[in-house]
Amino acid sequence: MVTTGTLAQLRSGDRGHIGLIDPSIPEMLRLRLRHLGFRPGTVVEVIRRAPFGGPSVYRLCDYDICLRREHARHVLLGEPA
Amino acid sequence: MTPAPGSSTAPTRVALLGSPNAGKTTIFNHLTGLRARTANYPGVTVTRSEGTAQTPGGPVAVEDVPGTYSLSAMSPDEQVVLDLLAGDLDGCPPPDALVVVLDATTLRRSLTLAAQAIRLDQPVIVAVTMMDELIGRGGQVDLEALGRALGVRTLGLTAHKGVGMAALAAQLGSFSQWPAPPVLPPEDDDALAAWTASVLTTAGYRPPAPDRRTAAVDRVLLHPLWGGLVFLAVMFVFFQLIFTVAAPLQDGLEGLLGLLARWTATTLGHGLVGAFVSEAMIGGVGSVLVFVPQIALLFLVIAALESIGYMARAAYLMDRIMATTGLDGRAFVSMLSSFACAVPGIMATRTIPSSRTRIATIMSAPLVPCSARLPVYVLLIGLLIPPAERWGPVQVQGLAMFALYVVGGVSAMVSARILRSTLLRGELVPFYLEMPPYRIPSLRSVLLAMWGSVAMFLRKAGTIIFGTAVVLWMLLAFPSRDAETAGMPPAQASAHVLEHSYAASIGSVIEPVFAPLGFDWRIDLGLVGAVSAREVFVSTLGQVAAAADPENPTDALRAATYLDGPRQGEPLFRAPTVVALLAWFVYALQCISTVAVMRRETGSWRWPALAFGYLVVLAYAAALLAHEVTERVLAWGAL
Repeated sequence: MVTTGTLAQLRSGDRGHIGLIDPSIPEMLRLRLRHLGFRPGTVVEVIRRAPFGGPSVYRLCDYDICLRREHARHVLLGEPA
Repeated sequence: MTPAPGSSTAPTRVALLGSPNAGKTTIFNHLTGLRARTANYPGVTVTRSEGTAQTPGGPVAVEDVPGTYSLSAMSPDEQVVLDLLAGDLDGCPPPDALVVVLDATTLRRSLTLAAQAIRLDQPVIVAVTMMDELIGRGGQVDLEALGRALGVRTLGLTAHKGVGMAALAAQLGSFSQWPAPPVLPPEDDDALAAWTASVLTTAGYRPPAPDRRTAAVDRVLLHPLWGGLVFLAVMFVFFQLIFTVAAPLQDGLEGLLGLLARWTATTLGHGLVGAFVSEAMIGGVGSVLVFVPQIALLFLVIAALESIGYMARAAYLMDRIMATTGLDGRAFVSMLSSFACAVPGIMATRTIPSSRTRIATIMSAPLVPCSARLPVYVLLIGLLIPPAERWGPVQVQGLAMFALYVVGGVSAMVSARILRSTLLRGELVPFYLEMPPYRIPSLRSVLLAMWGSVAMFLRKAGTIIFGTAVVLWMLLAFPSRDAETAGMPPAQASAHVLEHSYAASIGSVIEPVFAPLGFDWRIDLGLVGAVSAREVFVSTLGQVAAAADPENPTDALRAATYLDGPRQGEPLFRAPTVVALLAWFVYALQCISTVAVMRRETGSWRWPALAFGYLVVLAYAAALLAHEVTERVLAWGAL
């Protein structure tokens, strides 16, 4: 379980707890990430990382979703809630 | 019973609310007996549709709306949902009650939307779908306990098999008796995670295990190298199939039309009525209808890929490449829809949150090779390459078609890239996309999706294409030259009428414009007619050929020669002319339906006018280049 850094730094197969969503990004995007399940305390696992900076597939809340690295960077990891 | 004061006699309205890909449209189709398009990727439904469900309590109007992850909208399709709930949609009163559709396998995420819907202070019930998949993957949920925890009535469904649908229909008729929740879910978004956890614990929820089959297939299909190769291989095989599987069916249809033409000639004679039926109807519309096998095959493949769940994977694979064009994977899904037809492709852009990205996608969509180009390409490739031509196992006709599709697809991307770095610069968009598990669709749902698209093509053949064919026929057949043609054999008479028709006068005015491309006035007329729909080009050539030889129009086309001018007597469809025509059809925006939907989706005539202009210029330049290059290659080959 990784507890520091951001979602974008995780490697394939890594898991981490979501800590905080970067408060500097627009409120709309922050809210959407939360509604997609990226809430503090949620466990995220990296299923697949695309090479050359493509999007990665994450598993959280029992489903798979892909996210670009530029957005994954704004999801910070933390300690379990 | 006397209606309460203020109540109207309008039927009860119920809206289906839910996350994308939760299965709302499947439920909608079951309840209403309608056949709205379903697929296995998020964002298939981009507009509201309405139907009537027969319930024990009387008829109920059911609204299907686009999926939304929450009640805060980012994209136009999500805004439709908010407008509907607020009663802000024109001609559509707000719903009396809501059915919140939740995918049983993603309850942990979906409860956010349920909480927001329950707080709306309207009668709500919850329908939990895909119960079979939850249990099949080792999960479980106690629906009664879930209902108690949510405070609203909760039903379990397996909608695609119809399980639980009767119970849901029974509920719809009696929404006034639905219990209101004793305690509302928390308003504060921060508190929702804890609320969700406690609801799921109460309901004894065990999440489904990850789908192993999906993981195994994805290891290949999402592999950065193999995934791309598999995609190209599938496309390649598909175009081979167009010529090997669909072509014999097309020959059969052509044979039938030939019989029909012969029968018409003997029963109706060569008078005006006979000429109208054999030239405008059989030669014009019939020559487009013979392509139904190819078009059905294309739609079948698209429907199958959508229903299995491949589209989201294609979007994932393409996101990196799309990023270099300034678009994202979601734009790619819309472009994939454009392979069927640019109209649904442009409508699919409603899932794109950024308006600049959305318009850039809309402007590039007409370049994606759509099904309307298929008849034109098949006809022209048939004039260019003999069907028996093979390079080893590869059929050259299929290879040429594959190449045309690649050129169209790449051009669409280049156009998007240029627009995103000039007129529509900036505004980075959040790209996220749910990757649904692969699902084996029922044959029925795939065939229904295919039939929906084929029916759309047939409607177009019966309206736009038929209408244009009739106008062109009149231009080609009049003024009648009864005095001059009396005593000529029928074929010579129709050729005489054609060469002195109104169409010929119009054509001779345009002819100089297209002469450098090798086009004569008959081809020009086909291009002008094809502004309404690309298939009209095929129908115009069909009419011209039917006038010459109604029973064997294909040979008549092959034998066509220039009627006048410096090249009089030379064959018309030489390679340079045909290649130039192919290049023209890769680029030109020849479809009034596309122009109309661009106007509607962008809210102004500016964008469709710009698209039409830049694509005509591009088409002319590409056709001229293609003509010159082919001419040089022929000259070089002859040395």
